Amino acid sequence: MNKHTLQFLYLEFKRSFVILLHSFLAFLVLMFLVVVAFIGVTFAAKSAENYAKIHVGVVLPPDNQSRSLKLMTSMIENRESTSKIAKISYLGQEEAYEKIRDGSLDAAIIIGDTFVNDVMTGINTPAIVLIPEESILNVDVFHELIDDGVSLIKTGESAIYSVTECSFVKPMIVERYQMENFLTQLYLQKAISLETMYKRNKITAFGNTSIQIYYASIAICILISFLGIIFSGLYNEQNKVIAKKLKLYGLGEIKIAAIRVFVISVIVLILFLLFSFGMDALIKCMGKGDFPVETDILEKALDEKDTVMYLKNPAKWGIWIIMSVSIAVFFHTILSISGNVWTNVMILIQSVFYMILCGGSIFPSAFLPKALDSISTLLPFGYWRSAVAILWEKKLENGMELALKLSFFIFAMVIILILRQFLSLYQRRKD
Amino acid sequence: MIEVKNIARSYGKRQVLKDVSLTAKPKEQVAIIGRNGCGKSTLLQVLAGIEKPLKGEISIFSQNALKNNKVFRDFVGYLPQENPLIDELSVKDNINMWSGRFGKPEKWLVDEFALEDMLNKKVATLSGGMKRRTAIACSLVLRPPILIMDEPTAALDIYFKQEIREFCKTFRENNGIIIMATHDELEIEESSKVYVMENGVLTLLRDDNE
Repeated sequence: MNKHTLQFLYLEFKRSFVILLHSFLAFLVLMFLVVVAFIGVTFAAKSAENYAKIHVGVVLPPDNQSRSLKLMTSMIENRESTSKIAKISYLGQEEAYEKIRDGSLDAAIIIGDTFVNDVMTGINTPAIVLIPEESILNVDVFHELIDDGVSLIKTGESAIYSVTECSFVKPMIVERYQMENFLTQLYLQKAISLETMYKRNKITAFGNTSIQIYYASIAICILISFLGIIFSGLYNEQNKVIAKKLKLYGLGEIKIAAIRVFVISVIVLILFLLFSFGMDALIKCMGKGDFPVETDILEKALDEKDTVMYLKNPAKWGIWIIMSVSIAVFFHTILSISGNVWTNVMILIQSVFYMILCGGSIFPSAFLPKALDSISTLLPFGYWRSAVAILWEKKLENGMELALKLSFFIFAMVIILILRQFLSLYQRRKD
Repeated sequence: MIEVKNIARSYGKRQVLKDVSLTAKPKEQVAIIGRNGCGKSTLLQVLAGIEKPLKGEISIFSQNALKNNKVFRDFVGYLPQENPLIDELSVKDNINMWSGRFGKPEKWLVDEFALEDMLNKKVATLSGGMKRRTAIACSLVLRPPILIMDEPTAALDIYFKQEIREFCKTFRENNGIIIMATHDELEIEESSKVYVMENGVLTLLRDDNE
């Protein structure tokens, strides 16, 4: 690396910080608007439809016994305590999973094939209850009722099995005072083991993240995406003259592009961490205040011993570095499209708006028409959101997949830049 | 010495330079005059190595500059019409960008252009004359013997114009070569050679050496 390259690298960093400082006030306003939107959207999403009936899907086994099951569920459905809070519909298992994911079903009960026979023969059979992780108030009530009902059944069953086992499996003479201890021991064994009889599956339209993390990561991505407008200062027309002169000093277009991408990547990474610390602090404040926000992430956030960020995971850093590079390459690709910086900024703003709308930033992509959802998978915003959201994860799941997707996006952008360079060279030679 | 032979350059179908030739020796100031848009700036950019000609030769101190970009970098300082300065950076940073140095610029440069008080000022805050002074300093950081200037005193007041003319005189006296595009009568008068550019063709108008 020659001295001019080093000097240029140093000066591009300096310029970027100067440009950032100049735009600081505008950026503060944007940050304020995004944070307000984040608070509003998470609160609205959480509080929506608190008093409407929940829609419960029931999946019956596809055989003759489903008729008697349907009679039973209809009887339960028509009871006032049930009809007041829920409406029941019957559907297939795949359909039930799909509807839980896309949010059109609030809960689902899946009854197995051998349910009726098992009940008749005294065998405990599993029942699957699907409830979204982020559920509305009535679903939470429904959830609690099921829990209570299950607990009641478990208690009753445990008692019955304990006595049965005691009398049939352990034929012995036991003193009265010993009987109490003995039954208690058996009961506990049964009660605990009956935990496995009822499974809980949580399926959410937000994937594995809570609403707060989902929208917090989107808020951070929106702030970072609009940084591109600020970085456009590195590409203004005045610098074309300088760019031509720099070629003589060994700083051709490719080298300058690489330096700019590096500079923007570093700054994006630093700002991403700053925004994330800020957003994390905001979530903690929301939890400590009067906001009715109750999620498992908040429990982690309020636990002083447990650091929310889990920054020590090197794999996360790897993903964040790749994410920063992908953002930088995206900015460079758009901001160097044409010779007019304002045209490029307009293209960038439109691209960002499109990504925000179609990438599941306002409504989760599961709620969008499939065509838009498909297009959004080609855009980087969703990957950036996932990369930001891992900030709050204890374990990194699907990290390699995310890293590959981001790397592929970088590769695609580089190919576009190379093709553009060839086109430009061809045009110059033609001239 | 710089020798230019049969340089041609076109933009699309429009041929901007047609078989342009010129020479300049140490202590000479060469003025190129012509209408706006006739190709003066293009010629200067070719002489500075920023644009490549379609054909022709450029020899700088007997070295073929078109085959080795380093010749342009080491021997030619170029002052374009628009100041090649970055507004967000200071005078010091702009000079260091071309010198490759870190820290304070070389003393001779600072003294020559009276930049001491301006070093830490952002270029955006400078007046037109100060910017031009800084731009000239930037073009001379590597002490090139040849200076190519595109309308060096355009839009400057008479005091700055005088300053630049005096600088050019000193530069020539130190065996420097100046090639400039200009509309300024005094600069034309002080030039030992004057060429006129018309329809892409360069014609020698006056040579004081003959």
